[in-house]
Amino acid sequence: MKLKAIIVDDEPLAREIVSKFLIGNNKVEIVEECGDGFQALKAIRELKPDLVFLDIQMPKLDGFELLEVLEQRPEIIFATAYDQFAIKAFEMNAVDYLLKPFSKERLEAALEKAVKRIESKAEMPQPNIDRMREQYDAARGTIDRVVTRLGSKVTVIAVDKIWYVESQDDYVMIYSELGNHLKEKTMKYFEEHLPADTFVRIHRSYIINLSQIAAIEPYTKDTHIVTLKCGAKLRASSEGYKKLRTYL
Amino acid sequence: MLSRLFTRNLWLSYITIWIVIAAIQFVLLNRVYDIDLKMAAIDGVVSYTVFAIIGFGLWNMVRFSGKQKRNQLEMVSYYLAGMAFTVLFWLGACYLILNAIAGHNKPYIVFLTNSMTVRALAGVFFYLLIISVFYLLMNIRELQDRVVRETMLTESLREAELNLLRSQIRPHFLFNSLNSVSALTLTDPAKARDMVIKLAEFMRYSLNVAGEAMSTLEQELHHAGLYLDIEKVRFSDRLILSKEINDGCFERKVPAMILQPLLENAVKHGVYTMPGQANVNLKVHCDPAFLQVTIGNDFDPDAAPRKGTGTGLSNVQKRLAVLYHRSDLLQVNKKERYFEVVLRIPVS
Repeated sequence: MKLKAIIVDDEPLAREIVSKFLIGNNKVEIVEECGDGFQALKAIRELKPDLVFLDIQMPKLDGFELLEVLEQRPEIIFATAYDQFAIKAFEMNAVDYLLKPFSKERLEAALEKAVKRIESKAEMPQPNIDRMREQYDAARGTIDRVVTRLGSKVTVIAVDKIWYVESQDDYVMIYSELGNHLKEKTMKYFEEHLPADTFVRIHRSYIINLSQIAAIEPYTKDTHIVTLKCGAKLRASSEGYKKLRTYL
Repeated sequence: MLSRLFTRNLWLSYITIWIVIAAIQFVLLNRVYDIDLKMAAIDGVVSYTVFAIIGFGLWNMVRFSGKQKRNQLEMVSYYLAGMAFTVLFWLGACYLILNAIAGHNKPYIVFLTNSMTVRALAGVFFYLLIISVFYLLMNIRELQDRVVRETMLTESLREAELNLLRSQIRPHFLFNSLNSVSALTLTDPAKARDMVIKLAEFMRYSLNVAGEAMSTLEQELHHAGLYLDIEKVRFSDRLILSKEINDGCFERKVPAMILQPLLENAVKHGVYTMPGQANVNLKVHCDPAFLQVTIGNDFDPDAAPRKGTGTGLSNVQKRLAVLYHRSDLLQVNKKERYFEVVLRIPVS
């Protein structure tokens, strides 16, 4: 039986060349083509393909973000024209990827490897997508949006819409214009990757958006209470207050 | 160094000053001390010719001291030693020469011997004066040198920066376009050929224009048009373009490679971030003072755009600032779902 594959790319011609190259191939069959990350998310959930040809830069949800919110990840063949950060992440994880434009032979070689991995799923080491995502963010420096999932609902939050971030055990809660969203990430991750000119960690448990501050009042000898425009009252440690003061 | 310090004017001033001082001494000797005209003249000429010659040596001394890092005590002893040497050498040389010329004139020689203390004081005074003036001159020269060097440096940096800002072809755009060409060779070879020609023409303009500051609107529009054609092939019906260009603006001078980055910005924030169709609107009109270009695009307010935002705009902003020394030529209007930049180019 042929493997089911989906092509995800925002450029029609880029999708076309993959499907044209695969005409007559007896191992895979293209079951769907998607032009953006959300379409792809829906299609992958519904059609459960074995293999996805995935572009990195796309509207709405990029390739890595799509993988981050997928419950079950199919085998992926990454394709990118020029994204040195993505390429770095691929290389650090020994993931095969296609650089556009690519030849038919190159596509078939990548396909061959993918098919082998699918057939021997248990034995072959699978690429660590989460680690790759982290390395991608680390290479790019700051993030400009956060993607969260609750059940099957995926929300993309632009960082300037975040009010504050609160630590909750192994998770963080993101409070934003778009509601409250839980995310399985560390405070350290957000401290490092939210834009440093707008976000400050004022406490072990809180990172706040500076533009959301409504008032700051002394609380105990060392600590302060920061009131945000959304009404939240958060405690700032003495160290956090010191950091905060350098911005005000 | 000596030649650079003593330009023609400075030479003249230097000689003139000594002539004036010699003349003052001549009058003084003749009127106050009753020295006869001939001896007063010889005394004045000999004394200050010798000092003027010593002056060259002092210039080298000042120059040398300027190159060495010394503390204040060292500086003071350096100049005191210089002073002692100068005054002694001057008095000794004058005495020997004047004695050789007028040895027979006993009253004059007696006067010369008696006046040595006063002459020594005058020597100290001239020494301090000459050192101060040289010091000042040296510092002025150094300052001028530094200003010239710094201007040259900023000029060359500016040039390099302008070239860089102008000639940026984004690799992402280039490789994706090549990928589209690759796809078209399978389905529509004629269109593929057309796209390759457009890409080549686009790149050639970007490369050629890198050395030139100004271009015409017509050329700029043609180049931007090539860019948009290529993007239209990549995104087909997702990119909707409308143009409205007043006749009579085409010959206006505009900075080279100024339009394409703005259109690229519009495409990037429109088509790259929106899954559906995105409009890009280009309007150009001109009046006697300005050429105004308005570029607008739809964008998705929920999609935080990916990195690289603003670099295109800030590059254009920087270039305008360098070329026109103004920061108000690029205006950005951001509405809820529509982004617009207004570029005004003054008629030079």
